[in-house]
Amino acid sequence: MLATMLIYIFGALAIFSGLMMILYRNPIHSALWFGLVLFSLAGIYALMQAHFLALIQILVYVGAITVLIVYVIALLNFDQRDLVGKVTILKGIAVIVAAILFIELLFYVGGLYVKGIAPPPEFGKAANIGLATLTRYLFPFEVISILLLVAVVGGVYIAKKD
Amino acid sequence: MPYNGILIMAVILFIIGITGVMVRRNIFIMLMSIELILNAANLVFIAFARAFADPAGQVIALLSITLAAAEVGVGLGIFVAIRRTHNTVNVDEINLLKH
Repeated sequence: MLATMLIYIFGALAIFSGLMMILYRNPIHSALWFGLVLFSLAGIYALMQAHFLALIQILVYVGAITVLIVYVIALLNFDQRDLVGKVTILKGIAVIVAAILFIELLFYVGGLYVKGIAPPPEFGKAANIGLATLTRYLFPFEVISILLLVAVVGGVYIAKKD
Repeated sequence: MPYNGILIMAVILFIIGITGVMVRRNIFIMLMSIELILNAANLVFIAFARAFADPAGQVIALLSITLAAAEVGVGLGIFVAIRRTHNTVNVDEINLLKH
């Protein structure tokens, strides 16, 4: 019961921070709200017996990705005229399309009924995930490691001065 | 566990991300909105991993977090290069491959 309540609190916090993220003009403020979204999602993961993933979420997303985004925004130091947004008819159409998609997805999700079974107590521990990653899901793991290597090399190559 | 509530939360986060990508024109906020979409998908993966007591969902969420990290690395490199050549962060003004 407490876990359910905490999940709803974290979820409300995540949704509020997400809205603030897309509504703020200054990208630095948006990046900080984005960090709060990721923290709340880490809380939900921890409550759903994904302890290892909650730690990875905080380490990788909050510790690396958000800090990198804030750092690059500060590095680029763009002028203020970029922050002024114009309200156009296309944006109105975009919001309407998003609202239609939302209602459609809500109908689909509302029709689902997920009962769920109680997982064993060792579910979600690092040993359990490591075993699954290195046996059944070894091939995707190797592919994603190559992708990460290519992304690192490509990022350095694109960003360097020629 | 309130699985239906979690699914609705994920749908709302997904729609916020979609709206951010379509409405905002600042490339940083668009990148963060794409990350929000990926996070909504991760939330569904982890909810169903818990519901069916199957570690596959958590493994795929782990791979998805790695993918997001790679995406941000390349994306920010591209933004630094765009800033150098075009001197803007507004996607509407970025319409040339070469300057």
